[in-house]
Amino acid sequence: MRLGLIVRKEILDNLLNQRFAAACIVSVLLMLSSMIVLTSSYIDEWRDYQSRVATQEEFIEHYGHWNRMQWMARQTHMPVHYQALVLGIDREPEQQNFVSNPVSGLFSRLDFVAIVTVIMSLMAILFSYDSISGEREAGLLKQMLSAGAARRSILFGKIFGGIISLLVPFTIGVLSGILYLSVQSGLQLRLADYGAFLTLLAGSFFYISAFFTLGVLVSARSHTSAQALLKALFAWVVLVLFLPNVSPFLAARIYRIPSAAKVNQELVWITSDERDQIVRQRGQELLRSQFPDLVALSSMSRNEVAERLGGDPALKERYARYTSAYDQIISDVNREQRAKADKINEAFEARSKYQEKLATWIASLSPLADFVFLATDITETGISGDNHWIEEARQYNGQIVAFARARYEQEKAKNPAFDSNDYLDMRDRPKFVYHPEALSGRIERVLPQFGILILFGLLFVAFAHVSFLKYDVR
Amino acid sequence: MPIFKKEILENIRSYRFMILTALLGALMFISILVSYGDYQLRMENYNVLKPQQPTPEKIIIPPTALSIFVKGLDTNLGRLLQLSALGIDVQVSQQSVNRLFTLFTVPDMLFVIKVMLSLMALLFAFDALSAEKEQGTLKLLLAGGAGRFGLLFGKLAGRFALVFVPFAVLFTIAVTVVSILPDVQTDIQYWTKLGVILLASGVYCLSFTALGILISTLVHRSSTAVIVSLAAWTLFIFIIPNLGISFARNMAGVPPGERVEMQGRLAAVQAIYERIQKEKSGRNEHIGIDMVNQVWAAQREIFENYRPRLDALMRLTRAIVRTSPAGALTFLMTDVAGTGFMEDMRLKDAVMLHVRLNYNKYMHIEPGEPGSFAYARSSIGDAFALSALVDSLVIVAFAFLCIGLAAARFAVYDPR
Repeated sequence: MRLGLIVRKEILDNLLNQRFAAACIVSVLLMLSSMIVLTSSYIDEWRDYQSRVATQEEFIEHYGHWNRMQWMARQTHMPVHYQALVLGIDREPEQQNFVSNPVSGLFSRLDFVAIVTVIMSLMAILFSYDSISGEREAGLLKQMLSAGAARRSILFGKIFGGIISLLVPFTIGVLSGILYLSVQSGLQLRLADYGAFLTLLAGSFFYISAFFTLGVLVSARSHTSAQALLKALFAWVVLVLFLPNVSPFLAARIYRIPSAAKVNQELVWITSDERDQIVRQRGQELLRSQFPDLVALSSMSRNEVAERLGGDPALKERYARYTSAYDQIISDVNREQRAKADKINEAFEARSKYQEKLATWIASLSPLADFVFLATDITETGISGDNHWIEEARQYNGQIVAFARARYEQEKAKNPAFDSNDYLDMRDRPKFVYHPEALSGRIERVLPQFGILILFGLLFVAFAHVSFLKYDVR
Repeated sequence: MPIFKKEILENIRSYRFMILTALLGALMFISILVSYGDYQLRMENYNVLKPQQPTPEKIIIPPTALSIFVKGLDTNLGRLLQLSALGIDVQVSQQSVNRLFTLFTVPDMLFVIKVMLSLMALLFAFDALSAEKEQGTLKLLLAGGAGRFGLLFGKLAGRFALVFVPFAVLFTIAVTVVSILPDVQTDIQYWTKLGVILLASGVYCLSFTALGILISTLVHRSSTAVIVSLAAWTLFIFIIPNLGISFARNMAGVPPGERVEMQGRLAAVQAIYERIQKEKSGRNEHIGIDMVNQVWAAQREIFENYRPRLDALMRLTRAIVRTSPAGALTFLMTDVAGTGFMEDMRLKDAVMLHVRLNYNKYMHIEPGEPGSFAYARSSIGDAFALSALVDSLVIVAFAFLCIGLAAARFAVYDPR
């Protein structure tokens, strides 16, 4: 019996099965409902973001001054239009404000990734767990083999036929969703976005196929369908529900890093209390070694010092030299302490990054995590997108600070009495424009995840093949 | 009773019982291991951040040992809040720097109960009647004099016991081991709350066993029953709660946290800027106090505008998500453990009340020392008085509904 014939039989079997109809309905309904709700949510978030940006810009135009420029011009993460499909890192649960919404801290929202990773993978298992054992129980396997069908043809026919049957309703669901997204004026999709959607769809195919082949493998290693179902669900629970969720916690236990609060406290101490101590100590040394005649002034009040200096021009000049040297000490100590703090911070960040990487490696043992990384990276809603945004915001921060400083110095040059709390006209300041990473770069980044998903599929197929060659069909 | 005994004896040495119980045990063990490590980290953060002497400006509450089982919002509840002239500042440095935590779910005991226990209950119950029918033993049992209701309830009790008894034993072992670990302080509330969590797990498990039995009476083949059961499980565990959250969020229209943050920040900058301008123009009288009053008035306005909308969102979320027993269980357990929405809102209200009562003393407008902030997590009575009672009734009602429908359906079931 030829491979094509078995594939055709599988597809026809599935088409006439209730499971196929249920899969079609579930896929289309879930995809559409999730995309409709998330698109509406994204459009609201985008409007709110634009209104926030406008409010902040208007505020700077009214109250702009050099002293609190960074506080005023702080950038908040803009919503990404891919959020209609992939939510990725949800910042709301971090609750950075006292008044914040705790809802998403308890439940996550249903997006394309959740549908593919949980529901479609479970569907793949349910489509495949009885592919071999079920045929054996029905006595069909013996008949097919005695009719001359090669074991390899049966296995690959079942795999190809099953995957095609499963992916057709899924693709219909996704394409209907993408069609809905493309007619939404609030999303303004570009060609690159469709490229990202197609990459995501391809990734989903490999992910779903990996679970389908896992189901076939389990079926080829089980004598009855009931056993196969239990084994397949066992593997599904471990790979989908447990391994990825446990990975960050396991990484935190294997590779311990100091508590962020502790590091932060140390940094605050270095740049405030310890800095003050050093400044005080060096200031006293300066006074004792170079300005012993001014020691008496250090115990006086500001008014008394001003009175003494007013009546003695020579003392005033000497005091000016002392204050200048003292300012130099403050500046030096600030620089030294900042460097010390930066070193600790860098070491902590490096260790945190390593822990994150370790968690990623552990999670990669599950196809779910690989698909999540693929989906979030291609849509800029994950860790790499976050890093890119942080870098862009950091660069903009540097630009706005440089611009404000230059403007402040210009004003100061015109009017020496101008200070950092005076109004600064910033209407022509550079505006924050986010430049997303090019699609080619994102695709390049997700290639390893593609590779791992394909590898999972191939491994399961290879093991299924070996198991089926030895399978007792009676 | 004979049916109950038969169910136990028939299943206890089965492949299904062994594999599912082993999986449950392994998941519970790993869950406790990672959750305890996470709790220790939060405790370490708390010890670093808590003021050495009680200071009214720094507010932080310790993590609860119950968060090892039901983490909920405990990380957020344990943030350090610092009161200043510029408002309430939230320290986020204690949050984890590992962003993978935000991509995946917390695998705590609540997750194991919500996801695994319900799956196990369904996998034990889906073929309770359909398999007997397929094997032809249903006819024999009925012909042998077994009453339909006796048979149904015997099967329900037997399948429930097969799932819940191993779970209860493992849970008791886990709770006992955790209670003797360092950093875990136990009291009567701790044990009572864990007792309620175990009881709620039992009712939850019963409701999914009843759902499995109901499905078994609705279909004639076990292979169809398993598909329907897993579809129902996906609907109740993932689709209703997760899609419900999205619907509630869209309908309630609560502004995102960033808007609130921006409003507070800009209000503070405006107040400082205006104060400095007044100082420069020589109007020095009360300007410091005016600035602080302006900042706090803005903060209060933000809180008072935001809070009713947030309350509406909470009500809507609860109403939608509670339609699934998994949603009701999440609310019930987090509220009982003191790590849920209710606790979050209660803490925020307590902080705002503390500020309102002590505000003038903080700002030195009134003489005297401001009082220290004291807070105790809600007791089991508070949790039930506010919302846990409704959640438990939802789970019980779901169980009764499934049992009632299964009984009605089995009364007319064709055993041939």
